[in-house]
Amino acid sequence: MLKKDLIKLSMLHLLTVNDRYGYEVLSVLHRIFTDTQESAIYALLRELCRDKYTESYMGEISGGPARKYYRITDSGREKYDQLAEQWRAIKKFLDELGI
Amino acid sequence: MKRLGYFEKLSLAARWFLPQDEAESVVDDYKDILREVGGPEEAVERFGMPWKPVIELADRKKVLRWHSFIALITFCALVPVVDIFLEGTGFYLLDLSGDLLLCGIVYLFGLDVILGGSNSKVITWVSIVVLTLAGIFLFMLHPLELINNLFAPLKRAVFGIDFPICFQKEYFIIIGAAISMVYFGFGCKRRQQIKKSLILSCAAVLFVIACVYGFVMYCFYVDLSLMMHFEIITACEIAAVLLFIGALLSAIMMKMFDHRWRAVYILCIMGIVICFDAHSLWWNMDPSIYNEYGMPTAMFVKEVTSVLTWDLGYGLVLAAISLL
Repeated sequence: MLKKDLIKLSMLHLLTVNDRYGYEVLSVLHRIFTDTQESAIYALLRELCRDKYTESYMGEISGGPARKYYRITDSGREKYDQLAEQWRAIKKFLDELGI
Repeated sequence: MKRLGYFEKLSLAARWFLPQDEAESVVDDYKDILREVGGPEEAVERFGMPWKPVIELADRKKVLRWHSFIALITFCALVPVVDIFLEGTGFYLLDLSGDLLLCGIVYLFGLDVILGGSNSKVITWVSIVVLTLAGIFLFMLHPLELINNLFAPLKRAVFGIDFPICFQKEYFIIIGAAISMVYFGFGCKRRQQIKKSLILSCAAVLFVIACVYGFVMYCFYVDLSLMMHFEIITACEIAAVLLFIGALLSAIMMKMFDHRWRAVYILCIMGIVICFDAHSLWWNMDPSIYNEYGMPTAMFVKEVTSVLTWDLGYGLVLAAISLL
């Protein structure tokens, strides 16, 4: 599992909790993956959207301009389960090794 | 002059490197994101130079396809302009070579479209099938001449053999129109109104064309002595260069803002070809075209009229189609 997939997994996880706008996703993930530039994180967000794992819509926030929000799709949930499964397997293996 | 900010530069890069729909979506996202960012310095620190976020998103095949497209349409506009300055001696090819070049350029472009993923599959496949059949037919018809002609430019360079003219400059109007139609297809997903700038640009190019066409017609039907003024030649050359710049700008506009800018591009090539014709008419004036009253013969006038009007006619038709 590559770092890219970990970021995607984190993104899908954030979106399973609730819909978020682009900057929100970037700033949360950049706090975790500090050595990855935000533009690279954004590219992965677009990739998820292009692969139909997420979709966007224009949403209003009180007192502010309309923003583009991202939400997870059904195929996105399947992808999330699949990535989470891979991650658990790796984690278990690393635990067994005592890392 | 207003300096472009980080967001403006990023928007331009997005429109240059990404397909139109994706570019718009990315621009929307970054509009939101950059609203939260302190200033251009912070944006550069967090996202890199304005083109970096776009390059990370760009599909290499599609970028290659776009650059091959712009190279081809620049080539189509540049050849007649160069030939004006070489006084019509720059590109001597046999008829068949012209056909071959026409087929080759469009055929290879079609392949490129397939490899790069097509916007309009029906048009691409139809053009590929038609051009392949045309190529096979041409080859079956004149296999030896065709092979001979492939080496014709080389022979000329090595042995200095001169070949009879004619790769028709008019072909470039068709090539330019065909590849822009294959590249962009027809119809907008979201039908947007034609912008005023596009209409004004069409009108400006049509005005230049009307001046050149009108002047040549006036000379041939009323007063031929006007053709003898050297300024007319210079005016044709200047008009051709301006139209070339117009063609290049409209090619950029059709990718970055609205594919219907190809109408301006087609009008520009048509204008360049008409300038080329007017220019070569002056250089190739032959005493045999005059009758006993010192006026050009009716047959020559008819020929000039039909050539220029033919260019004008199908250029206008193709430009109108390209607005779809």
